[in-house]
Amino acid sequence: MARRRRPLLNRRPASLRTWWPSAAGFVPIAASALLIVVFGAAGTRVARAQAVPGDVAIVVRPDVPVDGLTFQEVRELLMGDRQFWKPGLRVSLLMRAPATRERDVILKTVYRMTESEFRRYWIEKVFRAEAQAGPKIVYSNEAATELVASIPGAVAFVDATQVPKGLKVLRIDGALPGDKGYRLH
Amino acid sequence: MDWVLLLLALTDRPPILQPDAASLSTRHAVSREQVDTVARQPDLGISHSDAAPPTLPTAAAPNQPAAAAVQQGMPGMDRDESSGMPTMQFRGFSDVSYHVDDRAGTANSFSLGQFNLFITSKLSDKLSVLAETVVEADQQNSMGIDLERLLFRWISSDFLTVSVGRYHTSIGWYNTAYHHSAWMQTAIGRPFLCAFEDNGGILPIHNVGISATGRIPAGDLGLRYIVEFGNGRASRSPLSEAVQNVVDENSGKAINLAILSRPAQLPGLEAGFSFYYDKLTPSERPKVGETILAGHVVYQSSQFEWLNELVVIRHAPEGGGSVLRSTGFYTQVSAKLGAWRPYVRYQSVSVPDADPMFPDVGLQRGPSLGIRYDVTEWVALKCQYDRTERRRQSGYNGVALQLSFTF
Repeated sequence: MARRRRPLLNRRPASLRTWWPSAAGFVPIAASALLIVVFGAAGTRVARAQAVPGDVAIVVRPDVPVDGLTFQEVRELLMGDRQFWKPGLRVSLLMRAPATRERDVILKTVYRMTESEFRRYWIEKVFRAEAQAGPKIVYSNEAATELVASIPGAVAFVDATQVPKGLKVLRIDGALPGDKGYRLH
Repeated sequence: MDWVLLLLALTDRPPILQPDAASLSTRHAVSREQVDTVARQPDLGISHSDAAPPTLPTAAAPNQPAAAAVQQGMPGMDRDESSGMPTMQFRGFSDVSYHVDDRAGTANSFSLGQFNLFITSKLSDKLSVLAETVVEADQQNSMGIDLERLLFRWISSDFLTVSVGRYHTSIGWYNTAYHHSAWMQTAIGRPFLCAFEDNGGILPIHNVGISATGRIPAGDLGLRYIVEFGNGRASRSPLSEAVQNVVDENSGKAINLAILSRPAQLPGLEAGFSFYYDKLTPSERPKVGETILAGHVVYQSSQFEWLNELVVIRHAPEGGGSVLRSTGFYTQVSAKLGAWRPYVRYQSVSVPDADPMFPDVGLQRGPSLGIRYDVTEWVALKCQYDRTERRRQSGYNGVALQLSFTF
């Protein structure tokens, strides 16, 4: 069986791993700085998703210092195990309302939970003082993207065909919505 | 089973409080505090996508840049729009039980469980308050109120959260997983090992002091650390309140260091180890060095649960004298079959008779068999049989029924 290719996260101009305070983290930091200098707008590049019905895009503001995540990092964000993009920039999770397709995709592919298990998970997470609160509900993709644009650190999971200009779509394991191997659908 | 149907009917209404109970609908730029304001509204937690989207309070001026609107506010402030005060989120837990056992002199009884009001309040993006207030009755049927947890928390980053106040000591797993909620637990009660101090428990479950926790950058191992520094438990007299809420008996402080791992490749698995040290100062006896080593390996998924904990408590008197070791462990397995979850637990606590700190514990060990039935998402019925063996005393059998719920 072919070995799965290591996600590209570590080699991206700006990534979540880059902010880890480990010695190894300085290498990607330096590489990131160099790439930003060379390519100018790399740090604020806005990735536009292909209009692929069925895919769910992870959307953030362009100033979020991450361009891509591994699937495991997506899971850590959604599970509330990672709550900061970087020191001072807190993650705010925005979830579609129950019984919407985007939410179902996230629950099935990332949380691997039923609706009931998801609710219980967040009750326990807050009760154990591991999180201040659970994700916020949004009632439409449009509301989600508007809030992402307004709230620093907000991240939403919306239909990939409804991502407006000006927002950044995060890659997952190097893939954007519509790419082969994209997992949120 | 009519009463079960009645319960079903009563609890069929969607719960008001949900962890993610915010609803947002606006075409204007909004700030984080406005999002939180909507999240607080109690009638917005209905989990139906066709519920009418509520409208937000007046947002930033339509032509105002979104980022500016946020920056002009108080980012992260979860406050009441009318008063500007931080707001509180409530959740309740409680239970009612019936139990009977075959010990001489005991009567079968209905029992009120703990009435637990769990309160959180977000003061800013990095500051919050958490409290767990429990109303419960003692063995003399007198009701009392205990502030079981009170934490003022500063969340600096994923790598550092500092809390001050009263906390549950991070010894093992059970103590910080379920706190004072019977509904969250699969079984009816806590293992002997994790019993609360006022129920004859041998661990310093509660502590008052300061703690720090956070992630350790170690890739997929998912490591976390916990450092706790507090008053420790009272030891001057067996009649003393076990938790030193206001006054410490001595100037030495209890320290607890814990490390745990949640491997990314095995979601649901957690392994951990902790080291606790305190100096006890019983009256008219030499000081005692107390060391507690604890380890746990637990696996929890939606379908399967396997909990294992082992604790060794070492009491070493100063100036000589025999060192006394107490041990305790439990293992618990359960599997979910639809709304039913049968479980089995085997547990043991063994304290030397000569240990003056726990004169009444001795040996307690035995199996428990039970089943949990989730009547609704928020209500559970449990039935459990226990067999308990004791040192130099006859063993006994017990059966308990429990209705536990959150609200």
